[in-house]
Amino acid sequence: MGRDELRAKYATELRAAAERRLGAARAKALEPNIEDAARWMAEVATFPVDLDEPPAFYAEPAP
Amino acid sequence: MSPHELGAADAARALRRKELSPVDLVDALIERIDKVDARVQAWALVDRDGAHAAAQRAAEEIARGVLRGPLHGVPFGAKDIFYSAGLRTEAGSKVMADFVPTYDARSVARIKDAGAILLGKLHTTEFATTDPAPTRNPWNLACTPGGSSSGSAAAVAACMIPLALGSQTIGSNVRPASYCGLVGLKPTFGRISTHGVMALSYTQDHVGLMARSVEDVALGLQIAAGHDPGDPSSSRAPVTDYVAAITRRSAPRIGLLREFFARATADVVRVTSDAVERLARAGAVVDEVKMPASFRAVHAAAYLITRPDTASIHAERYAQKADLYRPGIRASIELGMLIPGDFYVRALRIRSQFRREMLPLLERYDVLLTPMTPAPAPEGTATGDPQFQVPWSLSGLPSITVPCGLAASGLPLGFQLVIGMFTEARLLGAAAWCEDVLGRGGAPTGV
Repeated sequence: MGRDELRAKYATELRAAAERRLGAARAKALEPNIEDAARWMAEVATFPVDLDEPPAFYAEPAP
Repeated sequence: MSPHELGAADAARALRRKELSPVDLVDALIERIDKVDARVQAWALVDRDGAHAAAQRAAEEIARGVLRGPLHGVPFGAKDIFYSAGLRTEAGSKVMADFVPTYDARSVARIKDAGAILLGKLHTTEFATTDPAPTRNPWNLACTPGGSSSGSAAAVAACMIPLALGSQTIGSNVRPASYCGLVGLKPTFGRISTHGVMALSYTQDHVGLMARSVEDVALGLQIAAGHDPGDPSSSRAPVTDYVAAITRRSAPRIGLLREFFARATADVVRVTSDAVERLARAGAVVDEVKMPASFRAVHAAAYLITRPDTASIHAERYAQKADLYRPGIRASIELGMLIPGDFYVRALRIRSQFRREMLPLLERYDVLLTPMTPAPAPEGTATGDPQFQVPWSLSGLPSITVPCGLAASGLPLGFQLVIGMFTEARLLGAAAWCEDVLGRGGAPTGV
């Protein structure tokens, strides 16, 4: 799936989650933010993270 | 020079030599606030009585030959998300109306322990996100000072205070500093404790400093840096002598990050390129370099981390007071409640990869240089575009902004220097060398 298709899929999923969790009125108010988040999610989903890359929670140890 | 125009280090020297008294300095700054702050609106609270009492104590100590530290008798300000014992701390939000902490944020306490006087609290966007503060840019009152550390930047620029604490999760310290013609430092993540600072993100919140010179920022870092058991992300890395470091100035080897220039306005490119040419003529070695592949995903990763963090941090308050939040912070919290956990973790892995991919560049050059912002401070209330700060907020790499000229509109512009983790001494040394070559930022014309 391409980035644009993923973005649309994530936006649909986020809209449904917003309606379920926050109600229709808040979901509607969040529409521009949902579009932003769907774009971010598509970006990270399509970025080739190295398979053995660990999550970085805090800063690297001091030198 | 009037006392209110003195920088922090110069004021401290004048106080030590008894050329100036702490009481006169506090009076001069309050007089300046009374003269200009109705227009600039930088201060959420000025602690006139508390500052006077502290100044009186500092004066008596000086008379007895007692100096509590390098900022003895020097006033400073703190963004209104920093806890301050006995002083209202509202984070620009009705949610925190009339909240009075019982203790100081660790950074505030350390600066006070060095003899400094907390003059008051500086306006912030609501909870340091996007809903604007009332503050205006002293260079042009029609423009934003940037945010979220809006009051910190405007107050220092308008000479209402020589040194201020700000904070940065996305771009909130160095961008307003640059919009207001200041030096602003975002140290390495964990270098200054965030204990007692209202949080937005567990892994991107940084305490920052703003002043009108590199020396003052170095002095502030010297005092505020260091491990704090009260902040689990606070580093145990030794605190270097940052003030001594800026006396060892030599022309740096600079890696110019062209991707940032490609995203800036022609005006910003012209001013920044002119400044870089002056640095090169003064002896800096300048190469153009490319950002690593993971740069592409940095912006998305930063927001996919901070939004769920914000939702978690505000969960209890939101459950009780959702309607008191303004639209921007409310949307941030609600969006954070919706982002799936696997995307959060993938964003943390991208952070790791980005840090690793930056290492070769950081090892090859003394500093990396970008324009500080794509454009000068915009008109209106929106706090400006943070995209040039995001990579360093995400990665935790330290960055500093140094004034480098004026846009065609007359607004100040700065460039940004970036360096490896916990090497602020070298960063400050390079910034001080650049400041020598380019001169300090000018004074604002708007007030």
